[in-house]
Amino acid sequence: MSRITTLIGSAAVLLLCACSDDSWQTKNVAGLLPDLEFSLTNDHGDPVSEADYAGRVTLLFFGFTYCPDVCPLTLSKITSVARRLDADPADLTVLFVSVDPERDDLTQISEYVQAFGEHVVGLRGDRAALDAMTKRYRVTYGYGEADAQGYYDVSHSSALFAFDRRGAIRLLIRETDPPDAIAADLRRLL
Amino acid sequence: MEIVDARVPLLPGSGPLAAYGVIANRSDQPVKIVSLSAEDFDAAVLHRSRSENGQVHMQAVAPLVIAPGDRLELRPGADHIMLMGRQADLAVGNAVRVTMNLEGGRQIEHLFPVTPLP
Repeated sequence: MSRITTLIGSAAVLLLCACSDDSWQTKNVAGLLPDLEFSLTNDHGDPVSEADYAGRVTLLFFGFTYCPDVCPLTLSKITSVARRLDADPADLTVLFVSVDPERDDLTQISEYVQAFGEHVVGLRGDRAALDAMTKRYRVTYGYGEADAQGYYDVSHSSALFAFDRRGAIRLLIRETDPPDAIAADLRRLL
Repeated sequence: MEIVDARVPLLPGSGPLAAYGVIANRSDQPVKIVSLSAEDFDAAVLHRSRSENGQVHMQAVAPLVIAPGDRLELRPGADHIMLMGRQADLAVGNAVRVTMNLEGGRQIEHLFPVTPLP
C-alpha cells in the first residue's frame, strides 16, 4: 500500500515539475491562457491577425496613446531590452493594442508607436474586437470621468503577454520584473 | 525649493506629456502645492500612477504638501506632472515652463527641459 502511495506521490511530483518550470525569471503561464489570436487594424491601416506575426516572438500590451507615464515606461523598458538582445524587429515584435479606440485614431497610434522604434506595432479595433481580445486574455480596462479639459484616464493592464514563435502563450511579464530577468527569458524564447 | 533632474520626455503628436524631477523643500516650513500651470499647455496637474492587481490607473493628487526638509520625487510609474492640451510643437532641446502655485499666493516657476524618451 505504502509503495503504491509512493508511486502516486512520485507521479504527482513529476506532473508538478512538468507544469511549473521554475527556471523562468518572469511568470511562466504556458498553457494557462489561449494562443495569440486577434483581428485588428495595424498602424498603417491594414487589417492584421496573428498569422501576420507567425514565426516571431510577440509581446502583447494593452495601453493608450494619451498615457504619458506608465505606457512609455513599459514600452521604453521592453524596447531597450529588445535592442540589448540585438533582436530583429521581424523576430521580436511588441503589439501595442489601444484600449481607447475612440480617442486613439490610427494616425495618433502610428505617431506614438514610432517613438519607441521598429519593435513596436500599434493595433486598433472597434470596441467589439477589443472586448473579444481583452476577454480572451482576461484583462479589463475602464474609462474615468472626463475633467474640465475633456481628458479622461483609462485604467488598463500593466503586464506584457509573451508568445513564442508558434503563437503559444508562454510568459506574463509584470511591471516589477527587472530588465535583466526579461532579457534572460526573451533570449530563451528567441 | 530646489528642483533637480527636471525633464519632459517627448512623445510625438498632441497627447499629454509627463514632467519628472525632484522637488526638495529646503525651508523650515511645509510647502503646499495648490495648483500648477504650464506654458503652451491647457492644464498641468499633479498625477499619481497606481498599480493594483496588475491594473494601472492615474489619479490627481493636488493639493500636495512637502514637509520641511522633505522632497517630492516625480518619476515614471509614480507621481508626475501631467501636461495636457499641448498647444505648441515641442522638440528635444526646448523647455516647458511650469508654474507651481503655492498656498499663500507664492509662485515658483521652473523650466523642464524636453528630452528624448529613455
